[in-house]
Amino acid sequence: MRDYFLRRLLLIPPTFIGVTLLVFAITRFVPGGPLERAIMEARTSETRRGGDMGRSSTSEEQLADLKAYYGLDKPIPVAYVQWLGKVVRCDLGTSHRFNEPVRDLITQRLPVSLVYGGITLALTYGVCIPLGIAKAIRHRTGFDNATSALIFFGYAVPGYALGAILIVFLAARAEWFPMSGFVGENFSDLSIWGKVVDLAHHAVLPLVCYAITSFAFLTMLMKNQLMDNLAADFVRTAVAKGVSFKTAVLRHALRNSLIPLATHLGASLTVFVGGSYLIEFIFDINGMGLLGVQSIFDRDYPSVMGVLVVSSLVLLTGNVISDMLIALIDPRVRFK
Amino acid sequence: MKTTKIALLAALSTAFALAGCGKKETPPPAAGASTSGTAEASATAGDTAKSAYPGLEADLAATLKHESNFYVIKTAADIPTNLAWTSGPDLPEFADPNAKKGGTLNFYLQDFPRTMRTIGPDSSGGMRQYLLDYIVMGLVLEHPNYPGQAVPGLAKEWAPVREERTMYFRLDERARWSDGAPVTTDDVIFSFYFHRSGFHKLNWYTDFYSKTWEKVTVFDKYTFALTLAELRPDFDTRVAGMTFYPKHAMADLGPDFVEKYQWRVLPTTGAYTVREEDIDKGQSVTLTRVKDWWARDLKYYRGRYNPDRYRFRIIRDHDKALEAFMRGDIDIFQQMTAVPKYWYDTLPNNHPLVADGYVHKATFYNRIPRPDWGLYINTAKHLLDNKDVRWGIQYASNFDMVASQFYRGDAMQMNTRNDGYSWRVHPTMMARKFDPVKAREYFAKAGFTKQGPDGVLTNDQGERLSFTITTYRPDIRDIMTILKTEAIKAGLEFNIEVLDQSTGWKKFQQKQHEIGLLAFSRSPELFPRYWEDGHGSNAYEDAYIGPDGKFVEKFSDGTPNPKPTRVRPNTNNYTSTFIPEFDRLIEHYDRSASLDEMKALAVKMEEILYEEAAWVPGWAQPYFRCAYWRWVRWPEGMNPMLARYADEFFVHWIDEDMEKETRSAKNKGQTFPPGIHVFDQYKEP
Amino acid sequence: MKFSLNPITAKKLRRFRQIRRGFVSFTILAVLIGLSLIAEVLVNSRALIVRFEGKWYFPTYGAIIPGRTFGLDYDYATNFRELQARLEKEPERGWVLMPPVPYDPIENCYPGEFFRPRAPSFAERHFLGTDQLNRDVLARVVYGFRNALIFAGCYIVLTYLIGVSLGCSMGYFGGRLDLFGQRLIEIWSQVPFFFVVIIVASIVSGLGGMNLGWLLGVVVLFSWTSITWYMRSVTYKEKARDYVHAAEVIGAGNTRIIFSHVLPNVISTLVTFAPFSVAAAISALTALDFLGYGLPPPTPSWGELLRQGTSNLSAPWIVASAFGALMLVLVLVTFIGEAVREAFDPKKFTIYR
Repeated sequence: MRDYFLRRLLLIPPTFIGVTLLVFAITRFVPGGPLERAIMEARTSETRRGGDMGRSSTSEEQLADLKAYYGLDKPIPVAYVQWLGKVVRCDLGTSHRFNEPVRDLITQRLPVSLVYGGITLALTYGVCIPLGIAKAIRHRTGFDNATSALIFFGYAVPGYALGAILIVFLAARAEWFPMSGFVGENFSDLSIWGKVVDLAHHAVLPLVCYAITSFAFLTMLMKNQLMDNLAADFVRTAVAKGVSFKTAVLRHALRNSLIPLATHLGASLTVFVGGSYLIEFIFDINGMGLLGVQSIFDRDYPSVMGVLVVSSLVLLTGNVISDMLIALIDPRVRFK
Repeated sequence: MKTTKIALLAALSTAFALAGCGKKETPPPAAGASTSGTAEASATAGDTAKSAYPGLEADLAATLKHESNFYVIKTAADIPTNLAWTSGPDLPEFADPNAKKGGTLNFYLQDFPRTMRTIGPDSSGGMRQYLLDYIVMGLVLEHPNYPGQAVPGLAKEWAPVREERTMYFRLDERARWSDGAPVTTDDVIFSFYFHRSGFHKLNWYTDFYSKTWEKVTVFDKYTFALTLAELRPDFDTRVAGMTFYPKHAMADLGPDFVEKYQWRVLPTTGAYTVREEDIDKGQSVTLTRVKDWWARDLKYYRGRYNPDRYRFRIIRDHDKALEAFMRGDIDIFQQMTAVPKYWYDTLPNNHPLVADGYVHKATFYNRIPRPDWGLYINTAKHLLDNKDVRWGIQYASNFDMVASQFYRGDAMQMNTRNDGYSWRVHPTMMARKFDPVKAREYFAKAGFTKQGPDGVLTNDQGERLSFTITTYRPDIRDIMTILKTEAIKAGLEFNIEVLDQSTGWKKFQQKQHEIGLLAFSRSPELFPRYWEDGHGSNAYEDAYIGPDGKFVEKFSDGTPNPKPTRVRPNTNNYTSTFIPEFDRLIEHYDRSASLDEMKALAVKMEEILYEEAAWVPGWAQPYFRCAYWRWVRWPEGMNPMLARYADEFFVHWIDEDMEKETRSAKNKGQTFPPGIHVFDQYKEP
Repeated sequence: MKFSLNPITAKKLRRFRQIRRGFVSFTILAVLIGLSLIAEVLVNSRALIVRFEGKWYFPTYGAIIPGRTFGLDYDYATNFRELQARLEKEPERGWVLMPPVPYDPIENCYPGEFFRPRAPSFAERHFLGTDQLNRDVLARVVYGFRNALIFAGCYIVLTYLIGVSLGCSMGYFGGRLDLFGQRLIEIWSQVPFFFVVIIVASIVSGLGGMNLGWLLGVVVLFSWTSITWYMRSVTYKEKARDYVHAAEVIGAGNTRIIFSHVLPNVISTLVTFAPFSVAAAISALTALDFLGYGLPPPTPSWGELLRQGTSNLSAPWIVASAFGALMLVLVLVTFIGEAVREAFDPKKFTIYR
C-alpha cells in the first residue's frame, strides 16, 4: 500500500510535464497569438491623434521584433524547457497582458478562489450527505419527492444566467446586494466583524449561483449508494441481528456509500483553483477562473501556463488523496 | 483575510514543493538545457542593445551626434527673421467658461488597464484616452469646430514655411509638466529620440517619427522647427498628433522601458493625472485634476476639464453598466449609440428615470469620418473574383434594412467608403439599394441560373452561390443574421462565422476570408486614404514587376503583373483590390499637396471602387448618443463638431448642488421636466 | 408487428410504469420528443396544404416553392402567410392551411418594422412572443429543443461507449493499462476547455464552419474522462468483491466476468449517471451557445435565447421561455432517470421501518 502511494506520488511529475507540454504546444498552434493581438490593438486603437499608426502595414522586421518580445522566436522544445526550468525556481514568468509576474497574479487571486471554493465545497458536501441519507431512508415519501423536485430544479438552472438576472433584480434594482466584486471598496477600513459581513454580503449571490447546480448530483449519488447498501445482505443481517437502525445506517451502510463521493472529492478540489469562470465573470470576482479564461482569450500564454501549473498540481494531488480516501474507507480495496 | 492568506501560502508551498521534487526526476539533458536556455532568455529579454546601452544621457548625446542630419542644433541667432509668426485664427471657444469646477464623475471601464504607459504593448486599452488622447496637450490643437485650423497648445505661436516644408514653433513659457517643470525644447528632442528608439517595442511610432519628419531643428529653450518629409494639405494640423514626454522624469529610460514604466505615471502637460494611490488594481482607477494646471485659463481650454476627479470602476458588461448607471453609480452612459435597444427598450423615454427628469438623454450629430462598416469581399477568392457576382452581392445585401429597422431609422447606409469627411468625397454617388431581382440578373450573368431545392442558386458546374461572412465582433451577429435571411431572397446564401477576436483578425490579415463584415475606425483627418486598403501592392507581393524582373511596390516603378498569385499578408487590403489605374491615382493622390487636386482624384477613385464593387457599403451612425444624470451639465450645443464621444473634449461639468437636489428629490418622489435633447447643429444635410 | 419481450425486461418495464413520477415524466417527454420530430408540421412558415388554381401543394417538406408558382412576383421561397391573406380575398383561386404556429425559427416575422422584442400575442399566434430580431420565440424553443436532443443523444452514446469500455478495462485489468489510462485522463482533463474550443472553432472555419458534429466532438472530447474515471473506480470496487473471485475460481474468462458479472453490477452507477449525462449535454450545449461558441447564428438554440433574454430583461418572455424550457426538460429527464434506476436495479430497495 505504502509503495503504491509512493509510486502514485512519483507519477505526479511525469503527468505534470505531460499536461504542461501538451498545453504549451497547443499555445503555439492556436491561430492568432499574443503577437497578432498586440499588432491588432496597436493598429485598431482609436486614437484621436497620431492616426497615422492606425492603418499602416506590418513589416517582417517588426514582426520579428515583437516575436522576440513575446518569446515566440524559439522552437517549442527549447522554449518549453526554458519555461520548465523557471517553474522549478518558482518563476512563472511575466504576464504579457498584465505585465506583472504571473506568480503575483496568482497569489492575488488564489485567496478569492479558495474562499469561494471552500465555502461551496463545504456547503455542497454539508448539505448533500445528510440530505442524501435522509432521502434514502425516506425513499418515496413526500419529503423525498419534494426535495428531489427542489434539487433538480436547482440543477436545471444555469447558474450564469441566473446570476445575470439576480444582479439586475436583486442587486441593481432592489439594491439588496452589491452588484459585483469580492469585497467592498472600503473593505480595509472595516472592523473584523464588518469585514465578515461585507464579505458575506458580497458572497451571497455568487454562492447561490455557484452551489445551486451542484446539490443534485452529489445528493442523488449519496442517496443511491446508500440505498444499494441498505439493500445489501450485510445490512439486512445486521438489522436482523438486532443492530439498531441508526447504527446500521451510520456504521455499516454509510461507510460503503461514501466511496464514490470520495472519488468525487478529488475532482471537487479543482473548484478551489478553477472556480467558475462564468460566475466570476458575471460578478466581477477576480478569481482564478476569470484569470484563466481571460488569459486564454487574451492569448496571455505565461498566465495560461501559470494557472495550469497551479490547477494541475492541485488536481494531481487531489487524485492521490481521493485514492487514499477510498483505501481508508474501504479496506477491501487493494491498490497494487 | 489573514487566515486565507496563510492557507494560500500553505497550498502554494505544497504545490511548489511538489513541483520541486518532480523536477529532480527531470532527465539531466533537459535540466542542462534549461540553464543555458535561461541565459539566452535574459539576453533576448534585454534586447541585444542592453549590454551596449550606455544610459540615457550618453546615448542621447551619441544619437544627436550620429544623426546630426535629423537633430539639428542651432542658436537663437539662427532663427530666421522674416518668419510670419501666428497664433492661429481667432475662433470661438467651444466650452462654457462659466462651467463649475469640482465634484467627482463616475465612469466605468470594461477591463482594468494593463499598464499606465501611454506607449508600447498593451497601452491602447480604454484608459489610454484618459491618460493621453483626450488629456495631454498637443503642440497645437485642431479646433474641433474648424477642421484643419490650428489654435495654440503647448506652442503659443508658430510660423509655417511651406516651401521648406517646415513649421517653426515657440513653446509657451508658461507650459508646465504636472510636477512643475517647464516644457522646453529639451523635451522635444528627447521625445523624438524616445519615439525613434524602439524602446517601446512598437515600430509604428518609430516609423511615424522617422519617416514623416525630415528633421527637427532646435534654436533655444523654447524655439524649434519641424521639417516634414512631404508637403501635404494637412500641413497646419499635422503636428497636432505629436506627443511629448518629460525628459526630466525619464532619466532611467533604456531598453527595459516597457517593463520599468509599466505602472509609472509620468508627469503630464494635461489637466489630469493619476496618483499612485488611486490605482486600485483590478478595482478602479481615478484621475485627479492637476493642481493649478498651467492652461486652465487659456482660451480654448478654460471651461474644460472641470470635475476634480474621474473615477473609473471596472464593469465588464455593458448591460450591467447600464443597470449601475440607472442605479446612480455611474454619471454618464455612452453605450447608447451602438446598441439601439438601450436607447429604445432598456431606458426608453417613458422610463420613470427619464420621464421624471432625473436622467437626460441626448443625441448629438457629429461630423467625422465614419467607421467604414461594410462587407469586404475578398476578390482573390474563387467566384468572388467575378465582378458580376460582386455586383450581385451588392444588390443582395440589405443594409438598408439594417439601418432603417435594426437601428430604427437612425442610422443610414453609407454611400462611399469615405463618408463623413468635412467635404463629400463623391458628391453624387449612392449605394446600390437592396434589390433581389437585380441581384439575380447579375448572378445569372455570372452563370448562376438554376435555383436549388434550398433556394440557393447554382451554376452549370453545380457550384452553389454560398459564401461565408466572417467577423470578430460578436455584437454584430444580429446584423449578420439580418443580411443572411435577406440574401436568400436573391438566391445567395451567407454562412455566418463569428470568430474570437485574435483568430478573426489573423484570418483577415492572412486574407483567408471570403467576405468580412467589419470596420476600421478612423481619426478625424482632413482627407481619406486609399493606399492602405486599396493599393495593389497591399494585395499581392507580385503586383508590380520592375524593369529588372524583381517585384516592386509601386505602379510608377514597374509594370502590372496580369496574373498575380502571391497574396500579401499583414496589410489592410482585405478586398485584395488590385487595379493598376487605381494604383496610379493613389500614388498621385498621396503625393499631392493641393486639397483641390486630391478632391478631384478622390472622385475618380471612388468611381473605380464603385465599379469594382468589392466593398458593400454598410451602415453609418451620424451621431453619438448618451444618457446622463441631470447634474451633468454641458455647454450650449453640448459638444464640438468633431466629437466622437460625449466626454472626448471634456466640456461637461458637474453641478454638485443639483446632484444633491436630484438625489433627495428622487427619494421624495419629486420630479423634474424630462430632458431628451437632440443637438443637430452639425448634422449633415 | 408484435415482438415478445424477454420476461425480465417486461418485469422491469412494469415496475417502471408503477413509479408514477417517472412514468408521467417519461410520457410527457416522449410526447415532446415526438412533437419535436414532426415540428415542421406544427411550427413552420411553410403551409401544410395549398390549394391553388385547381392544384394541390404540400410544401412542408422538400424543396422550396418559389413565389412565382402562386402568381407572386418573386423567385424566392413563397411567404405562405402572405399568400393566405391574399387568397382569402380571392377565395375562388384557392386556399392555404397553415400550421398552428405559422412561423419558422429564423424568419423575421415583422418585415418592414423595427427589430425589437414583442410580447406574446395569441391573436398573432406568437404564443411566446418574439425576440429581438422579430423571430418567433416558440419556434426557436421548439427547434432548439430538437437540436439539443440530437446533441444529447449522440453525446450519451459516444461518451458511454468510450467511458464504459475504457473505464471497465482500466478498473478490471489494472496494471499498466490502468496507470497509462489514468495518466491520459489526468493529462487530458486539465487541458483548458476554452482553448480547444477556440482552436476547433478556428480550424473548422476552413472546413465548412462550426456545426453540430464539431461541437459534439469538442464536448465529448472533454466529457469521456469523468465517466471513464467513475467506471474505473466502480469496477475496481466490484472486482474486490467475492462474487468476482468466485467466478475467477470456477474459471470464467475475463470477458465473461466483465460482461456477465461486473457490468450488470455497476449498471446502477451507470444508470444514475444517464439522466445527469443528458442534462450535462444539454447544459453544455446551452452554455457554449450562451457564450457564442456554439452553433453559428441563426441556428435556434436555448443558449442563444438565454443570452438574448438576460440582456433583454425588459422583454421577460424571452428569458422566461428559455429558462422554462430548459428547466422543464432537465427536470423531466432527471425524474425519468430516477425511476429507471429504481426499476432496473436488480437489488430491490429495502425500507426499514
